[in-house]
Amino acid sequence: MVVHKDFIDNWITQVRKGLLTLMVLNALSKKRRYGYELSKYLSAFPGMHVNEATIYPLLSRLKLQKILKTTLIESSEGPARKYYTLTAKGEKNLKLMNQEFIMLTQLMDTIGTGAIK
Amino acid sequence: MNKPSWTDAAKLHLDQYIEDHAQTWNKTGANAQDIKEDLRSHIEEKAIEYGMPNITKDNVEQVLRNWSVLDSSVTETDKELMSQDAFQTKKDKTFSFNNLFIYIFGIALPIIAVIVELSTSICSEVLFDPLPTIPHVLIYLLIPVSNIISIRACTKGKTNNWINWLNVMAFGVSVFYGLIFLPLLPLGIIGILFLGIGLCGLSPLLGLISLWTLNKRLRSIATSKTENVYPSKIKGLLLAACILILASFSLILTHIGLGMTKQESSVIKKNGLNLLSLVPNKKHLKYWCYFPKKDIRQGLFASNAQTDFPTRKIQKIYYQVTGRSCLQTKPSNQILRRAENWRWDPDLGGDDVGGKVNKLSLSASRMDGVVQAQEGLAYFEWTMKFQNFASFNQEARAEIQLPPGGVVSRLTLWIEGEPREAAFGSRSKTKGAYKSIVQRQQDPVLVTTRGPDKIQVQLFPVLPGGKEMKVRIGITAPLWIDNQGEELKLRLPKMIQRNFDIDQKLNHHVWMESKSKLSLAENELSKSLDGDIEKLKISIPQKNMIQSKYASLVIEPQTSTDLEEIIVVQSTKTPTLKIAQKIKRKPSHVDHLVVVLDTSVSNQKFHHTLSTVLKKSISTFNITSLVLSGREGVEVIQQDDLSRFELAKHDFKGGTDNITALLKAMDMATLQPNTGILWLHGPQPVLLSDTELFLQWVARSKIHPLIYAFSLGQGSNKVIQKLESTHIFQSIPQLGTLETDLTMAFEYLMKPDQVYQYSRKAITHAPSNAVTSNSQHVVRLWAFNRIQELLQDRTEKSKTQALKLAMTHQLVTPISGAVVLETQAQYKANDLEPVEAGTVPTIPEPEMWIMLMILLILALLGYRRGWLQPFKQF
Repeated sequence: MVVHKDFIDNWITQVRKGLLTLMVLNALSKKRRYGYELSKYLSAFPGMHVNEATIYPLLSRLKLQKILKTTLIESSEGPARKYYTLTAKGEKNLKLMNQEFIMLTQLMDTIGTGAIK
Repeated sequence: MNKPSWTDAAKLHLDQYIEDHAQTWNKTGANAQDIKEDLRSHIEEKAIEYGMPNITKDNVEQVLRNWSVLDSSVTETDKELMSQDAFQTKKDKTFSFNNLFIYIFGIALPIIAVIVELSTSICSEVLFDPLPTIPHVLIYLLIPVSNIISIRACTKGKTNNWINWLNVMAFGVSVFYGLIFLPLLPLGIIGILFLGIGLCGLSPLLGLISLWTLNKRLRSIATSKTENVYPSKIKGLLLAACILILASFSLILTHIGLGMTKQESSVIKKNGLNLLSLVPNKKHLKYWCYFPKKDIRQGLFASNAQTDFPTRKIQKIYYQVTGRSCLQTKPSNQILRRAENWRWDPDLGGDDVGGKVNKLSLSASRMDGVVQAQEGLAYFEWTMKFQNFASFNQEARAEIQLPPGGVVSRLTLWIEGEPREAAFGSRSKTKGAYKSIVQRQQDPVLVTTRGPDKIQVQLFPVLPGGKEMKVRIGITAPLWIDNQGEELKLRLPKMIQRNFDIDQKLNHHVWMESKSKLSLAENELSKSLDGDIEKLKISIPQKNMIQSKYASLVIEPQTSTDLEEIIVVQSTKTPTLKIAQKIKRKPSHVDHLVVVLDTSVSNQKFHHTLSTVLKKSISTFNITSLVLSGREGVEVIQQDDLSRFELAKHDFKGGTDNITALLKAMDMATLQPNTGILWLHGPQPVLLSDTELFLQWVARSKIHPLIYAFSLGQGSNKVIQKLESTHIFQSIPQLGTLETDLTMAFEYLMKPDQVYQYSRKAITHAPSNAVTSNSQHVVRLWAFNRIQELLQDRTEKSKTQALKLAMTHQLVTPISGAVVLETQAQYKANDLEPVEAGTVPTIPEPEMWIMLMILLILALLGYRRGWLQPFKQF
């Protein structure tokens, strides 16, 4: 069987792009992070090719939507850093998003097994 | 690190980009200003991570190019591009160049510099020693080691606190070495241009640059990890200073101590010596005994540094501090290497044995001798072979302790396989001939005396490439009468100082023959009888040669020595000369005794024996005073206080000035008539006082008390060597253990009834009861004793007579020497005449006996079996 590699790659990119918001919120749920740190953190996961081109507009949008808030903290090693953390609204939303994602993966399993006809 | 600065072009480029995309972002619900702040912060963080102080338009462009890629549809190639960010691309390019620089100049060069310096000592020979100790070498190697570890850490993007500390410490080390080598920078650059070796001088500076680069990279990695601590460079400098000071502790103390010994104040000088005694590592002091010490200040900042301590002065200080001669202790490899590189031997053709030279050794040694118990003497020949593995000619020199009363009566050198006999001449003539031939690099050998019972042998050249040089010294020596004539003893000669190596496993093969029974005290021997001749064969390893049990040969006379027996020998050299020899009770040498004790540290080990024998002798004999030569000065204990004297209360420290003590003793000896001086001394490798005062004393004084030298340890005695011309030094026979010899020394001087000795005198008519002998060695010993008597007169006439006797009987004495030259022309040029082969003493070679016996057996066999029948008709 011939595998269309470009097709698959594009599909994976699109899926990950779609899940980027969830990934970012999860990354910030346990620890506050500044933009560059967040970018490096996510990139450290295998197969993740997260770049600032997508991260920073997303962070900006989430901030405007009051999902995230920022704090400027002085750094001894360089310029002051803008740390992102979840707001209360952000935490609630993340909870719902994670529940939805779990349901989605369960749904995928169900579709695969053909339980509902 | 501070916030990186933006170039105007970079700022403009980012602003322009934000402006171009602000509308699009705003439409998607994002805030362009927020993104700009984040992006700006992102670029700055990257710059810090990669240690870039400035952000350029290129950096911004590359970041934004990736943004553009992300904006478009994503392909596999795009992902590859995305995985490399702008700074990573830039970093790799920088990294490649930087890595190459670090590998070459930060790792390879410092290692090469250390190897070059350790193997050639090029810097230490020309200027100063940058790696004086092993810890210094290890400290310097921190530079390449740290660079290797750091570069690996940077490549992996991971570091830890150990790596960070190592980096800053190595940084500090390179700063210190860089500063030391800073004045040599121009020289280093010239070196690179012309010789290619100047890189070694530049190595600390280039190492410093490598460390600096890696320091920045490590710091950025460390700052991105909260668990890493990155120490400051100041801390590294302090740490490097601490370890360098610790490693240089001995060197610093040595410099301070030496500086103190230069001061006028005797107290400061004394403290300087005490400080030097405390220095744990005497390596530096020893090095400067061989090679001039340069002024440390000039050594650091000038290539033509002046010597602030001549080697002779350091040799004196070394002796005062340690009580040993630096030249007679094993030289370090650094010294040997430098000496070989420079083909350095300051004592070549000189009067001193000097320090060891490299790759010259004694390869074989044998002693063949015959004991004539009836005549009370022995003659033996010491044949030695020398081998030189250096790449140039070298001179072998040795000081040899002869048997008591012994004299050199033959000298042979093998030139191109042929034995050549020596010419005997005045000391100055033979020395002059030797020196002139040494300068022309031809084959001579010289033997001169070095005080009572001591000679110096020097031969040159021992050819390079492992070639051998063979020399033979013939020694005639009287036997020592022991146990009132029940036993006769002969002490074998031994080397007490040499400038060549002897393998401790090398055997000295001794073969002695006698009609009397022979033995070597406390030792199993291989003996055989050949008719009425007893043959003693023993191989004595070098390590045993100095032990007392191997020192003396015991001869048992066939009958108890007859005190009344007179032996008469007709001289073959002077037909009118007849010598009569008789055993006599020895006349008393002295009535009073001044004892001089050398309290150098080398005698510390004899402390107990000295204390016991001195205590006993003080109560038995008429000892008027005891003079102690201490490092702090001379101490005199008068007769009244001697009974309370405790040697245990006295320190044996360093090397002491015995000339001053002897002068004091001579002053005291003149207070009462017939007073002698017993000098109990260790080796005197260095003269701590000028000898002129002593020479003046002997020249101006009408009374000349004799100084009886008793050696407590093996080694050269420069005091006696330099004052040999005064003829006031006498040796005391030492044939057993220290305690017995020392006890005997007092008896020998003050209790003559117990001591017997051979007396020889020239006669015109032989007494009727005399036994005739044809041993010319009796004549030689008479001549030697007569020469010593004549020299005591100190008149020119006596001296001339003495020299004539020495020449006639071919003897090496204080006024005559023996030299072998290569050609007849050389002898003629130096007004010398080699002795005729028939006039030298010989021993039938053992091989010759075997040959003769085989021939005899063959002849007998031939006769019995009729082989010789054809010859019978003739």
